[in-house]
Amino acid sequence: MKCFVQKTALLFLLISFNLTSAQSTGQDIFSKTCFACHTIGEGKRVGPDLANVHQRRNEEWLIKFIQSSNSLIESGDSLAIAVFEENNKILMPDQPLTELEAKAVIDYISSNSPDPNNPNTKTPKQIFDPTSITQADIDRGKNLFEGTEKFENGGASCISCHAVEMPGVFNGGMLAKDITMVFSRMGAAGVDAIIRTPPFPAMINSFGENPLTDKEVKDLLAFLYDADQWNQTKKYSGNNDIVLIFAVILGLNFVFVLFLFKWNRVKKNSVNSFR
Amino acid sequence: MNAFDNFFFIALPYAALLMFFVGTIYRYKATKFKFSSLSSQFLETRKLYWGSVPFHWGILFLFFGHLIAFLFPSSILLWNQQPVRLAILEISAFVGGIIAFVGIISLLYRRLTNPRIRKVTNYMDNILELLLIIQIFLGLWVAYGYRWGSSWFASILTPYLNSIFSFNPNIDAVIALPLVVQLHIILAFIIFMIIPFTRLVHLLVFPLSYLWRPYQKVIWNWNRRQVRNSRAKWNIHKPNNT
Amino acid sequence: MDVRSQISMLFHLDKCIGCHTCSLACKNIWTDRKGAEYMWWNNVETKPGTGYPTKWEDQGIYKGGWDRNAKGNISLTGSGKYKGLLNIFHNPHLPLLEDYYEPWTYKYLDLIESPAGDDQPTARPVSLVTGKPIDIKGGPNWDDDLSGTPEYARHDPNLKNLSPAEQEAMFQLEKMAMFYLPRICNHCLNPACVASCPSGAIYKRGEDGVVLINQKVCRAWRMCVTACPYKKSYYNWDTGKSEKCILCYPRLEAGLTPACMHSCVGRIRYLGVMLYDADKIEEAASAPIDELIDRQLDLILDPFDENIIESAKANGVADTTIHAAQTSPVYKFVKEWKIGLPLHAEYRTLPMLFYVPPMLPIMASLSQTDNSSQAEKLDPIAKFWDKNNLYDTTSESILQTVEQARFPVKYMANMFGAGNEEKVMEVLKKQLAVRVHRREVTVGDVGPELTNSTLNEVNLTAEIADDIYKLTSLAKFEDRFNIPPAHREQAFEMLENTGDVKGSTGFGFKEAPKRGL
Repeated sequence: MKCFVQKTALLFLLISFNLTSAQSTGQDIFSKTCFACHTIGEGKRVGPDLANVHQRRNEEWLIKFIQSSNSLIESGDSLAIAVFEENNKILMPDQPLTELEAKAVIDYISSNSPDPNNPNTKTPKQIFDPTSITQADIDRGKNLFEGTEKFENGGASCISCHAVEMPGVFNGGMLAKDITMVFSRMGAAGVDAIIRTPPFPAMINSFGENPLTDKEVKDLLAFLYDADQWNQTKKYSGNNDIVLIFAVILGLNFVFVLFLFKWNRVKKNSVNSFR
Repeated sequence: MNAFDNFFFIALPYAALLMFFVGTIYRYKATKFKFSSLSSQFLETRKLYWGSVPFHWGILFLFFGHLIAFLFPSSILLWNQQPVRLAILEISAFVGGIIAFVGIISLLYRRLTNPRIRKVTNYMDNILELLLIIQIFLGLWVAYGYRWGSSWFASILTPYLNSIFSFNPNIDAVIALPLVVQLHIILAFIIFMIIPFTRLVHLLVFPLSYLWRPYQKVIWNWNRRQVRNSRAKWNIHKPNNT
Repeated sequence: MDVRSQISMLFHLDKCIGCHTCSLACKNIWTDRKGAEYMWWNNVETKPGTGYPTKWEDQGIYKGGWDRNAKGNISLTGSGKYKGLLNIFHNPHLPLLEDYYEPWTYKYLDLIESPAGDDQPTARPVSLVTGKPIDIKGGPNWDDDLSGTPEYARHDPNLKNLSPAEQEAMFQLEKMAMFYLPRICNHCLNPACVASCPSGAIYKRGEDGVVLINQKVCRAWRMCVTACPYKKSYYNWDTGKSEKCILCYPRLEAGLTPACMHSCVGRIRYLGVMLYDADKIEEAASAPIDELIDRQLDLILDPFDENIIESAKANGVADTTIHAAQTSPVYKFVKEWKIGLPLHAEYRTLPMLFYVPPMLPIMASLSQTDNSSQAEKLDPIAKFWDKNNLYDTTSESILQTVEQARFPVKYMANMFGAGNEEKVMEVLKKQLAVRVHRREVTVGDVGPELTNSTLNEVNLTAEIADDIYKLTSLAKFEDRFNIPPAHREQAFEMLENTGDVKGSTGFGFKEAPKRGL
């Protein structure tokens, strides 16, 4: 039996390698994993513009950085640390790409880089204009965030994984990052891009097939902007986790009373206990 | 990391499924006499009550919660639309987790300390109860530390499990999850895998059919309508009493 | 009409001497295994007493049997579809090992192997469950013959509805009396154990009515232990299966008597076929309590009736079985003479084991006599108590003595009459009439007039009284046990084709009960 288990495990291991090493083209990979934070010649988003990056850095370094920028930074690579500092200390997520795949991405970038003399970027105003938002937008954004209003194309609400700490907003999820101050960290363009074309697998699952409408994105941005503004001046201390814990204790007491009630009807002792 | 991820999230679930089905069929056919869990209430009843009852009700609630989230994710999302309802679901699930945790710990304690129960303990019982303790603990950790699992289960784990069952595994979302959640998933597959070899088989033979069978049961060893009919064909009538 | 045959039993309690031979025969054949040491499929209890398991008759504790609601429908008291499945994680009414007793043996070898020392070596009792030394707190028949004790006899559940004075009278040393109650599985027509089994492992055999547990299907949900009001379904803690009396069906099929019956020293046991109407079982089981016994006896059909014989044949009952029903000793006791009663009919399981209630010694009363003539006969130095009282055991009307029995009739009625004293009284009077008749025949001091009026009062004739006497006192082995062949040639084999497994399996477990890998 043990031998059998080992063999099957090995078999599955081999099969599973083949399944994921099906080669994607550079374009596919770029649009799936890079596009949210990077453009090719369309300006800086969360991460730097990658136009002509193959000329600026050597390929070996690029591959390492793509696969695990984290470990490169930790290893003390000065160039990597400089890039990290330049980009508001936002860490690029490690990408599970093979060397071949990374090369394909670099090839794609080099072949699509525009002429450096002709930049063509969207102005931040076009993405998000703080002066034009209304309270109605913010409220709708909050409803979308909490899930009381469903996204038109479906998908889980933001609160499932994210938290925004602000009065009147329900305790958020803690699986993913706290996005209270995301506006300060990434800027409107970054947030907008992540919501529209999410780079994170969990978000791809939710919104990859059913993207948010333009109005929904705008309202969410309005809400996040509002939250960011509020938090810049005040500190939210009304953390109501304690309410949740109290509710759990209350629930436990209720269940315990139920069990006690039943316990009264249980035959607990032997009828011969007098012996 | 890639090989590990593939092993734990692609190879393991398939191995677990295979082991579960092959093991169950084999054990049911070959060792039917043993295909139940050995009740020890007759030897000790007081501690069993405070172990078995909280554990079973808690774990049943959680098991069906996970099952519904997997089979009908939209129903959970619909319920969770109002933050209050989300809180109610999460709080009751957490209460269920705690009573199951307390229950299984007292069951293992009873199993290890009571000399009578030790006599009817198989080493697989101890292993299983230990695994369940770890699993429920991880589950509570996930619920507390990575909350609103009832919501993100639908968008992360349901697609993953669906991809497993449709033989097109996609582990992108799962490998990005925190380690605790991953361990919870891996241990779930391991427990699922060993079901046929432990006392957990009792949940496969849960006597639900009792609800619709008539109370009385009479078995005839011969066909009573034909046994005295000289024109009837001779046959070996074997009673169906299994 | 759905006519089926049932192997039915009758125990004549007047003849039981409480020797436990039946229990030992059963134990040696069936329950001398691990996990079954505490089981006594056949046991003999002293009454009044608490029995085995202790206070088994107290359904306030054990919740066995069926309840009848206001609408006249019956449901299981402590289990059933909803209660059973909701309590499946922990059965709140399950009897514990201590309610029976913890089985033990002695370390006999210590007597021989102990090293030399100052003390005599002893053989310590060790538990058969844990193997550790135990203090014995109880054992089989722990209250044997302890009929007046406060801890045992006075906790007898059958004492309910007796006034404190009546109860006290039963336990005074001069008036104390007791009888023995041998019990096996009743192989009921409306078995609560079958109804309570969630797995459907327990079933009643259509051919002979024996109730059996399929060991492969039993999954230790342990509801039958609670459901059986007679506590005759036992949980084997080692195999995780319930076990119960199988009426020695392998012996029955071979035409042999069950071991307990075969070995009965007092010849108290009778076994024979009865035909019954299966369509009316539910109706009879849900009858109001005062009609219960009559309705149960109505289920039993007349095996001489042409229509009934036809229906029986259509249902596959063999001619030999019908003939056995016509010559069944149990049928005579229960239906013709009506002196057999079911034990605790109020549990509504329609038990097919009947009892002839015992004629307990009548209560003496004091009367005045003159002892002076006796005193004169004594030697002058002999001590003589000048007590002119005499225990008088005669009474004006012979049948009145039943009412003066040392046991209140109410007590017997709680056991055999579903609380109805008339039922028990009728049976006791019949038995007494037979005795009066036989005394007239053999001694001749009663007088024909008194004899005849006594017989008439209980609707007996001299011939029937003689028949009762013969089957009670003189019956030979063949008279007491009337077992039809099992007709294996038609069923090919009652349970499995021995040819299929010949040479591949033997006695004992085909599969060790140990769980896990």
